[in-house]
Amino acid sequence: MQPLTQQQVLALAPDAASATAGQGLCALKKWTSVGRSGRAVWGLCQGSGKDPYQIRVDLTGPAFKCNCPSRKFPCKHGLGLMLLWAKEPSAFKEQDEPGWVSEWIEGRAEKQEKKVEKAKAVAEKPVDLEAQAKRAAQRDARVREGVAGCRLWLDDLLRRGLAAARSGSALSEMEKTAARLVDAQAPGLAGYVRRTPELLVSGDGWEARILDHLSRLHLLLAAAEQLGSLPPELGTDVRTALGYTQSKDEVLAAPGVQDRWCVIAQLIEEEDRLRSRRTWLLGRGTGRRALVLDFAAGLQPLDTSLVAGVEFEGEVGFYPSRLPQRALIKSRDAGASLTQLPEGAADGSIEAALSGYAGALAQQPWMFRWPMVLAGGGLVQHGSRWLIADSSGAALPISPAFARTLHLWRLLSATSGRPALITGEWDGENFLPLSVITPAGYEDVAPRGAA
Amino acid sequence: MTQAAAQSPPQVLKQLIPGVLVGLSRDQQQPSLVLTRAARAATRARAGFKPVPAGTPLPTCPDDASPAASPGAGAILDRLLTDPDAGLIEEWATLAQDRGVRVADRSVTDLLEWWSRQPRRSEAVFAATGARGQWLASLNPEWRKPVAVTAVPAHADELWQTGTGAERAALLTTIRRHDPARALGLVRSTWADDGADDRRRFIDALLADASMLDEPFLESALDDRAKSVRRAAAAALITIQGSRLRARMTALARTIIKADKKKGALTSGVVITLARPAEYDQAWDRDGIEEQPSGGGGKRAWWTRQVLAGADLKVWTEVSGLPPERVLESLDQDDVTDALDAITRAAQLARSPEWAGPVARTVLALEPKKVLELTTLWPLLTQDDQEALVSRIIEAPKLTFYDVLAALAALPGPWSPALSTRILALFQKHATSKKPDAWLLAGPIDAMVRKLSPTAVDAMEQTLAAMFSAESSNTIQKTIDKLRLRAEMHKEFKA
Repeated sequence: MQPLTQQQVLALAPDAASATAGQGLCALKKWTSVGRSGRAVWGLCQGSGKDPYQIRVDLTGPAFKCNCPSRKFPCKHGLGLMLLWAKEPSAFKEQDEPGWVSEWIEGRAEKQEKKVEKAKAVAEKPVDLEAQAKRAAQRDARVREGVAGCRLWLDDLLRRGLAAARSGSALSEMEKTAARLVDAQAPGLAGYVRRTPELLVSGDGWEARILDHLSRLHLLLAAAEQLGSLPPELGTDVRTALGYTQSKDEVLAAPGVQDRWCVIAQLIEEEDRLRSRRTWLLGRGTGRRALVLDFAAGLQPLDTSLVAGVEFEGEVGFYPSRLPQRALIKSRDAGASLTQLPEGAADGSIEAALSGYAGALAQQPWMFRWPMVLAGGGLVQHGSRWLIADSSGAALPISPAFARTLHLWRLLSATSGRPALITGEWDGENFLPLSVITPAGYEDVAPRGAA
Repeated sequence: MTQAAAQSPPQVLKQLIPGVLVGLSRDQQQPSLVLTRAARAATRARAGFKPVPAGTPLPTCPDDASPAASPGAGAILDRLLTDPDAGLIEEWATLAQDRGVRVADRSVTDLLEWWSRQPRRSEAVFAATGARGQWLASLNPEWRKPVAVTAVPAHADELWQTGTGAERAALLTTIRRHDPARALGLVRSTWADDGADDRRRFIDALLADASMLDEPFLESALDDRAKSVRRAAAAALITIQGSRLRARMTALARTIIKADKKKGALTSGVVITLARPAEYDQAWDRDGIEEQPSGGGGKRAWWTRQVLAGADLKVWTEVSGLPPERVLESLDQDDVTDALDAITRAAQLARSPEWAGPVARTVLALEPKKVLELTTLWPLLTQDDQEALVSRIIEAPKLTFYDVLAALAALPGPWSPALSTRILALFQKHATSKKPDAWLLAGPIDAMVRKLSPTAVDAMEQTLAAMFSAESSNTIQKTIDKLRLRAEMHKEFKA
């Protein structure tokens, strides 16, 4: 196992202060001892207390554990240890794990096994079918009410006109509608209603944007209204879009896809103190793309186990769907830094990527984001707009919000103005670049933090 | 499908918009029918998105002949950029330049972004970004180098006529470097029409390297209608050796400085006294002599100090027949404060090494509390004098450790290895004595550590770590971290 790079470690920092403090600990003299085994690194760091803190990192994650009182996660000690390992790997002699390391690691492994076993047990458990069916029927009924209510709201909105809906009182009324939909256990619909006010006042071109948004909601409602007559997989997708949660346990219990999975892109968005992270995986052997979602509210840390720019051998389980994309990691090894992707893993051309998108849209018309992996991609400037072009001379517009950030320049610099493998998300109008993979390595250009 | 067969999705959407804006109830349309049409059109538009033609590709990044800095040095720069410290980043760039290496590719954008936000854009930092930095800067308008620092723009004369005050002052500074006479000509050409603020600004722009070439113009500006302009002209003239203003001050000084044989002195002693003028002469106002003291103290002493500061130093040796060192020794007890003040300022104006050394030594001997005022003379001192000065500051009996540190911190860097060792020894001495006050010392220590020679940095870090416990002060800990980083940085570049 090779150490993560400095950038990869810093990407795990929960905030800038932790990153800075972690770098301050990236000096051998701050540590009483450090060591590593095949599966872990650890160290003792003298803090302000009497006894040094015990920091351990499980590399099949990485997962961190430190007995300092900090509520940040990973704390500065964990970051400092990983940074030090990146900087001075020779200082970390391979040796037997001390008890406080091995106990923790084995405890973790046990927990993971238990989780999978429990998931299997839950999936196989003879359930009280009658009670379950009753609960399901109750929820279905409430969601149906929610769908009907949402339909009324939507019709009413259009009858009165969108211009009238831009008044302050009308906008605040929508929050109440959204809350009612949450009560009706249809959070997916609530999300559509909640996004409406911001689109209504979103500046130039808002008319087309809001109409597009409401027409997607209409599609979802129309599908929900005939849920019973839909083919099962489409039914599942509609239910997911309405806000039914899919069972993690079922996914963990079902067989997954074994492959060498590359973490090709990752981005974090923040909305209302909820951070959501999208991690895109690409299987080297199967060519499959998978999306792993993680959420964290407030100061809660995001899971640290998926680091962009690494690849690992493992099993990935997909949530059932007509367009299986969202996935969970069932098992994995420690992994290594991502190396050059094979040519065949990419979309070939923009034309091919777009037709993949069109096909996906036919399966799931309310899909928002489609991953693209463009080999031979490069940046082009058209006046004030930036485009991403392929070798055939076709180009896609780059998200204007992205083009205003420093990330655009990181992307440009990483390509050196020459064709490179660029990953990103396509939303039907704009391309949001997420990473560049060149022979020199993986370069993250994805936004992290505020959306 | 022929083109006329169906309307394009965007056209459909465009048609639907007016209806949904005013409300469908007006035309009694069914919302779900309208939304179905919209959904169909929007989905079709998305699914049928046609790529746009790419057009001309951007220039590619040229290869850089110089190698990237070592991974270790690169990691240090990345660290500096996450918690920016301008001094250290510039030092990093200078070290890189000395070693003929450049910033690693991945850090170029972040460094350029940091650089472009600095009030003073360091040349060394831009140079360190290498060919990649130049390439990126050529594509990003915000990263272009400010032009004012290098070449005179072709339309300089036009810019002089039409530019804002700040633009014109910047232009003046640039032209001064190439052609002082042309700069002066420009100032004269519009002088009658320029406002007082601009006139003062232009004189300030001339101040940095004013010479006898500017003297007649500046002398005439002493009669300007605006006081701010008159004062700026006087401040410039006082820096010009040979100006008429200085001659007037020197003549006045001759009437003030008196040298008398010491009565009954055993040695061939001379006592130098000051005959302070009794009345303020209104003619002095033209030369920038203020009537009202700015600080405390008597008016007569105040006028005297101003006159003597503007006078040629040779007047002291002329009147007394003594060399600088002896002049300072022979000052009368009652006049020594005013005389030293004025001579310090005069030595600084005249950039006179001949006087700077003796003045520094005398001030330290007589008024050690004024060491801070000596820092202006520092660049004029020989290395021996500098070291002697530091020794004297350190050993001065009336100074506290804090005063010593404050004085040292004010000395411009970088310091020679010998000097740094001397300062290190001082700290080592204090490390063993009673617990130092971290709160009080943090400021001067932080200012000092950036000037220490890299040879002393390692030992200094250990000394400070021994002096201050981990909890004592956050600021000190940060300083120690900074020192450690500096030591590492120098090591990385040496490796």
